[in-house]
Amino acid sequence: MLPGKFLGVVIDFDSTRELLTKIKKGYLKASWRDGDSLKTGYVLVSDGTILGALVEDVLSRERIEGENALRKISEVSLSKRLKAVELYEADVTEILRENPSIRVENGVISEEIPGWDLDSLLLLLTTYKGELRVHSGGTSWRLYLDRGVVKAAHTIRGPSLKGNKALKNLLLEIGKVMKDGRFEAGGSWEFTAEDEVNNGGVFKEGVELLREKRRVDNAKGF
Amino acid sequence: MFENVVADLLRVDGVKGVAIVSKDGLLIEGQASDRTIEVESVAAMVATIYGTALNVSNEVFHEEAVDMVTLESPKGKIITVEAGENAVLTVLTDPKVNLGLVRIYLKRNAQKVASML
Repeated sequence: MLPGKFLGVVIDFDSTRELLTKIKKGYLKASWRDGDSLKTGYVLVSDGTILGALVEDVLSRERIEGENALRKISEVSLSKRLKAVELYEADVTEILRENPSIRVENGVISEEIPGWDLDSLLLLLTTYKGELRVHSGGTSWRLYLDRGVVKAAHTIRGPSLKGNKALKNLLLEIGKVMKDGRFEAGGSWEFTAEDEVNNGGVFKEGVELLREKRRVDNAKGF
Repeated sequence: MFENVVADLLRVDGVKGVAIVSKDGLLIEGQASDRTIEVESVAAMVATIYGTALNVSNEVFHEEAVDMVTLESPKGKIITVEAGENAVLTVLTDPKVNLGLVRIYLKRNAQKVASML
């Protein structure tokens, strides 16, 4: 158990990601059943950034730490097994000093964002560094993002495209993605030179423009 | 939904079982580290004990409230507190458990359960 001041419990939440903004410095704590066992996961957060993670088996006291723990928590979060999350205010620096093995770099909780939710997508793009998968109908794309800039892209389902061609294809299909697709953040990807993209900032710019267009269209409706 | 509560209490040294029970005896959530403990049976019995304690408190003290019910035996303890209007939270412990610590965790977690129900 980590030290901290209990702030409250959240039971109605759409995404674990949104909970990261509810505490300035501290951690989220959630427990879930895993077969016969009960596990507790902790995600250390400071100003919206994940700095550490730990999963502990309540009965056996076995621990998973760092990136592996965050991956486990993401998996549980994606399968919707987290029903209640407790928020704690804590000295994150001190916790990490005493438990250096729970530290993560560029941590993110894997998350699904529905295609229509451009606000959540833009919030993710501001701080996220890692893999983003985009799914729509029979096509899926894999992007490597660095704070809103696409560094690499290729398709994983549908037409076989890499690099700039894959990104262009995604931008052409973005309307369909917004309608019935989804974005899935999480993981890391060692891309090749063939997958690299120039001018990868167009993706975020495109999403921002679409959000603006939607606002204007909605306003016209009144 | 109550896995955090159960996990918190099970982590306390000497606690062998935890149950959140509706006042009519149904198990809401529970877990025991000792596989010989049948949490569902305990749940029904605990609700009965709590209900009886309330009746006694009402009869003797004219008070329709009970802070805590403790059953002590040579082989262990069962400690129960109210957790909101409709439920109680109970722990089963070893005989030599740190009672003060258990009580603190029990009350803290009972408040959490009450806020979620």
